[in-house]
Amino acid sequence: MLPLLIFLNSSMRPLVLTTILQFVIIFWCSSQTLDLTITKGSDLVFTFNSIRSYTAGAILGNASEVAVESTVEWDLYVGTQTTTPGFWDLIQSYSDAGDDNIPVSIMSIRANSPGLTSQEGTFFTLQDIATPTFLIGTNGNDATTGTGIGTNDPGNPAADPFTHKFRISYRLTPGFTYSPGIYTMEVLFTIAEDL
Amino acid sequence: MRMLVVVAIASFTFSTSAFAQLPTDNENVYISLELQGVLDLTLVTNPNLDFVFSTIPQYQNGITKTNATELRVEATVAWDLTVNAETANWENFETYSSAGSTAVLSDIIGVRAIDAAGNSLIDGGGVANTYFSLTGTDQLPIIGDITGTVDAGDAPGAPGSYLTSPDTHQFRIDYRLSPGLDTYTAGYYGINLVYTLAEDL
Repeated sequence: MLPLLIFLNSSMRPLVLTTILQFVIIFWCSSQTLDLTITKGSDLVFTFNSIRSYTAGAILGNASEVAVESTVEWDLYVGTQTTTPGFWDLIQSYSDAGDDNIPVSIMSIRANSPGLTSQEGTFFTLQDIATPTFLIGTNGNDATTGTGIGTNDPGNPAADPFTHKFRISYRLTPGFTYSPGIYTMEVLFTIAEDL
Repeated sequence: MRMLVVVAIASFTFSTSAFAQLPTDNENVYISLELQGVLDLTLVTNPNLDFVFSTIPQYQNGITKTNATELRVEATVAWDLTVNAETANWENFETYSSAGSTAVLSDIIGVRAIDAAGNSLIDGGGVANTYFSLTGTDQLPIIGDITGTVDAGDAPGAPGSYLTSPDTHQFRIDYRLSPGLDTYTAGYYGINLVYTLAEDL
């Protein structure tokens, strides 16, 4: 590139330099990453077949693990995704009795990193993804947090396992209200750049 | 020169888009939930009951056993509870005499089921000596209708457990046997009563 610059006349040289600089910036920008990976437990099954399980509920402790890799500050939030927002999808009904409109809020989760950086350290009920629950950050532009609750620094799970890995526990308590059958829903974890 | 200007403008455009917000990344966890209907009927007391008729007054008046059976209900769906004799006649194990008939009908059994909420259909309404005779092997409803039928006027039991709703999910059963004085052959007889907890359809 330098020999080329030498041969260019002086009026063109700044323009060429600017162009090169912008290509460098483009290259630098395109190397930014936001990557969310579920490393464990992406398909979970709850079966309720005894009175005790209905009354006491069922817990799957640390059933899922989510890994975050980001070169920018980030937010992490979670919500449910179903055909009818806020209600489980009915796949098969076993009975005419009861109500098959089961709200997603019968499920609660607890998501925390080994460094206890999650803003939701205890079980909380899930809502539709339209009104997500933030594990890290908020809707707005958050302050840079390097340690403790809300840590949103760039990093990756290999280098920052205490802040960029989250273990998810699930608790489901259906009670006696709902109709027997098979239901499904998706729990959607989303990482986004913190703006 | 013109070429360089074009390249510069293009690179500005690219750089502008490169500085835009990074795309988000999503991952899904798929959750399946299977709710199986559970109906659980528990007989708490001794399932074997003995009625020994050895005096004339007993034959004439019958023998009553109160609170002889206690039933506990747990269900995740609406339910009916019924009782019926397994056979229309008592089974004769041993005969003490050749007089009379050994075909003892199940309808000599009178039952009364009581729950604290007063929902039982055969609690006698608090009236003394009110018992409900079994008929053949027909099901006698205690709660709801006869199993398997759909009845708009039905009042089934609500889902729940005796632990949290003892007034409506726990039953005490009284029995009265009245064989009469002169109809049946003296002997040893047995019969099974069947309590059925079924989903209200």
